[in-house]
Amino acid sequence: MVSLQDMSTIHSPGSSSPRGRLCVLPQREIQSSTFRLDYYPEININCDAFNSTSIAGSSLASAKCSDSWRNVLVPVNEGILKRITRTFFESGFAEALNEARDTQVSGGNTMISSVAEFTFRTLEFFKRVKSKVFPHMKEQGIASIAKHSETRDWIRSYIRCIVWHPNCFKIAVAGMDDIVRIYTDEPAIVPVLKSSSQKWITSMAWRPYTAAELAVGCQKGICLWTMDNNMHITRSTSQAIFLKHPNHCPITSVQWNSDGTLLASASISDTDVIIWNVDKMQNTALKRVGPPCSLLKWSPNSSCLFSSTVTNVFRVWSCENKWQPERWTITQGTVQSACWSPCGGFLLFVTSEESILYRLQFFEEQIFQNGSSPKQALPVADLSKITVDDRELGGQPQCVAWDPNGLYLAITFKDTPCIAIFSTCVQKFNLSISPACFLSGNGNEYPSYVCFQSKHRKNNDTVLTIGWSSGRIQYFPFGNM
Amino acid sequence: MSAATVLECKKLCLYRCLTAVALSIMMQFFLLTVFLLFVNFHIFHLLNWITETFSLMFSFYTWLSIMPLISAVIIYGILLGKSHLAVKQYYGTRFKWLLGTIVRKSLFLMIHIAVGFLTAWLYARYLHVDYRSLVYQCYGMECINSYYLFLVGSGISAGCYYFLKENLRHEPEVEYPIIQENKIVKLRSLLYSTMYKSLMKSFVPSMCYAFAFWIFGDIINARFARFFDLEMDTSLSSFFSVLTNLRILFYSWILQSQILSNMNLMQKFFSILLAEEMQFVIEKNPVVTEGQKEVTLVEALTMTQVPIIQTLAALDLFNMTGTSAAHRRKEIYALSIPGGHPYNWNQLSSQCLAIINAFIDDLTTSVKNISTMKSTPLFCQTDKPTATEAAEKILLRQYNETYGIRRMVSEPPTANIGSSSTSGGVSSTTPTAVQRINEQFEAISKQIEQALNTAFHTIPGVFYMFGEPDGARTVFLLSNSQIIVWLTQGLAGICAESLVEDKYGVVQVALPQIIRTLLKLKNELDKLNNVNLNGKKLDRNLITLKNSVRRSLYKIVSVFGDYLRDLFDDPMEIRSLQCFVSYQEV
Repeated sequence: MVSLQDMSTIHSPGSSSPRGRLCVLPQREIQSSTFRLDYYPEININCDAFNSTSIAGSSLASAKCSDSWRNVLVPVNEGILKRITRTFFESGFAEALNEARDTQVSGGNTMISSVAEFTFRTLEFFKRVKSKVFPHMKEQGIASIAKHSETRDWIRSYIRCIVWHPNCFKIAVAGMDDIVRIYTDEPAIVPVLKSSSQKWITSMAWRPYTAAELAVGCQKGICLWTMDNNMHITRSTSQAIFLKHPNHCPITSVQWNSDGTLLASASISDTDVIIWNVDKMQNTALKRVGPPCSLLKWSPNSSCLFSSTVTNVFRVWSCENKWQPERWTITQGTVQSACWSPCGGFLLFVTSEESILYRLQFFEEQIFQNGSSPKQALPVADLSKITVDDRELGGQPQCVAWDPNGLYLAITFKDTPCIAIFSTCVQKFNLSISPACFLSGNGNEYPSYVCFQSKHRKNNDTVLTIGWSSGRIQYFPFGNM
Repeated sequence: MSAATVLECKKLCLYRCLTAVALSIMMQFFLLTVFLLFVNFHIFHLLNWITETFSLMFSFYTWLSIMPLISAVIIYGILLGKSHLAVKQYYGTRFKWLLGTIVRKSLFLMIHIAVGFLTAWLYARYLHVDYRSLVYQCYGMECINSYYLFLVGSGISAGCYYFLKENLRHEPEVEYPIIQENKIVKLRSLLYSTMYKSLMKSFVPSMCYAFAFWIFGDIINARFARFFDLEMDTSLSSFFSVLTNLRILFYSWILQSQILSNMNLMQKFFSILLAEEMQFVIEKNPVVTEGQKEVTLVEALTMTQVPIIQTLAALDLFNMTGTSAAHRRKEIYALSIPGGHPYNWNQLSSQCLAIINAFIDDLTTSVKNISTMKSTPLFCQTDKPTATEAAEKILLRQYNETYGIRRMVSEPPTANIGSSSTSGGVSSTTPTAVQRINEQFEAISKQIEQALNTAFHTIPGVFYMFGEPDGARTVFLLSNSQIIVWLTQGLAGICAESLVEDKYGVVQVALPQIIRTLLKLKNELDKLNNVNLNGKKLDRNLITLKNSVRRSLYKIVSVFGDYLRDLFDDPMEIRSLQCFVSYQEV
């Protein structure tokens, strides 16, 4: 089988390469709040029009609370059968069954409740059997999404995802309230994208070479928004196209290729990566036997697609060479976050168990490949926890982001509140990395999500965008460093 | 374009078709093995089951008796290959379609029936002894075997069912995959999904067939019995005997699923093999060895007789935007060795533009015929005066009025009305006899024409058969627009890369032309925004084409955004492109 050809394993860090040669964490702190950029929109999701009910309802509470209108209406006395029928038509079979099981609702009628209880138990039994037989088809809860998300504390984070448009000044910010806000350099207008089926937003991607097409990966599938320029208000579901594939939800990662022709999506309950041709509404699955996929990263020139799974396996698909995958395994944990160099030649990644930054190289294989040494991922930086002036830095990495010029690398961590910045230099066949500085937030803020502004005609600067845990978004320009 | 090149292109396709036919033949053996494994299954003699199946497979008898089926498969392959390579025809009305395709379709139906019959005939030989032959001994006489008739009929019905479902309304055509995976991977996943899906798909048809056999089986049985001068068999004549004979229902289901998967596999083999990407050379090798002819990309793009080659060339151009094709792009930007002309690029760009322009022209004429477009012209022909012109006029009029200067020219609309009314008056006063008769005849002919027209639309079936639905031609054009989708994006990619890679600036000469063509195509497609095409509000082909043209424009403009003023003179063009530069296009 193709997938099993390349059984390269990554050697454990300490063994062959001494830790002393690894790059260490930066020791110099930079006061990030002193920099201010003129026309960048000021974003603070926390104090935005955020009503408490929608926070409670959106992701954390059960579906019952989410229908806020139901809590507003005064209950009336209605017959048990009528109530169950109404619930069935309003909320579906599962809710109706719950309603019928509830002895308080059914009043004295024990027969209905016992029949419902029996049905419920039978269904549960079948579900359990199914999950035993097909362990990969198990329904994935919110906790497992959070585990594989690049966002720190995804469940409670005010900011779940930030993406920059690759060609113009547009930022999409997904909040905990399942609303996507679009910010441009015109601060007066903030269009919001809201839909009842758009819940648990895990990732977003702007379609390259379009004015405003946004793919939002969420619980039930991919929400594809096409905005026109005079759109300022909330839109209903009808304007969004919903892409669904059987057993392909919840979506954990969506990525467009650099041309905007193909959309790739991964779900932690599906072993296949789905490649969509959105215009034609066609899709193809990249089928491989194994664990479900979690994270996708398309290389900047679209020649490779990185896909990590929920176990220690990850693959790199060569898109220009018949989509043949290279299969890689890491010693323990899963790939937590990964990023490509601007040239597409290097891949940096961090795992969920080790405080090490790894590097993989992807070109001119035929020149350097010889039989004796298998391809290996090299550890390039040691991210173990250190303390600098009573500020904690390092530990388990959460997310890595590389700027589109290939000069800076930002890494956030799972339990320390600072962002480590490394300066990098990508040469033709080599990558050098050195510690630069670290950033910290106000008070006890920690970074939820970081990304770099995309490089395009109007923007050549390197601007790190940080979504802090307080809901504040900060821009950190590297121009004056 | 020389005949040798056409021949070369046809050879390329022929090779692929032959591979598909060979694969189809191999599939017959494979499917027979699967069938035998299904029907000979013994839970207690597993080893015996497998050895028996394989010894049957490799016996001389099997190889001899599979020959008729294989010859039918080869004929089917030839027909499929022909229709895949044919130039797509447009049939405006259903009547024209019927006339144009009836021969081909009936041939297709016949070959479907033949494959169905021969499969059933072959497979029945490996079944239980009751099902093997047409004639069996009953009560000392020779009877016709209704089980056998049932199975053969099941095979024929499966063939017909597949024809009706897949091949009656649509022509077999190549489906281009969205990503170019390895051929083996595609074939493997096709095999798995087909085997699995055909079991599902054939269940209902096989049950329907059993129901039909219960109704008509007796008649058929009697006919055959009389024809062969045999006794009739009544074992399958009652409803319950059909329903309770689970074994024959199972056999018929498996048989039908095998036939459906066989047909589907054959068609998909052609599709997969023909749609596989092909790399054409940019420039012919100057030292051509005899017998080894190369087809260049431009030659392939001109190949209207072999549309598959043309589309594959467009795909090749589209793939040239990737990083791995940098050396091929370099060849395009290169200058010719004696002479130093950008020969490759000039030929390529002019050929691409010619194809796109021809498409735009076809589209424009077809759009003009759509009735909803006729009634409401999108763009007013009369030029609107600009605000400054209008203001000037008003100022002048005010000046004249204040100084008491009389207006010499009346307003244009009123002048028109006046003149027409006067001319009408003149003609009505002097009618001659000839004119009057002429007018009456004209009126009568007009009435007849109108009556025929209403009859055409009101008599049920007439318009259905002889009328051309609104926008059918546009839909046809759009359904063949895959080549344009790839050409626009491929051209845009080459133009975008040229800023860095094109050392001599050869692309810049044709760049304004390319951008103008793309803009023209975009405007033409925008006209179709709210048009109901063939009863469909959203035509996927239209959306695909529109989005790809738009993305191509964005791609070129985001690279050349700073140089628009150097490329274009017309401020209107610059203004329309400026929207793309700022990503503000609506």
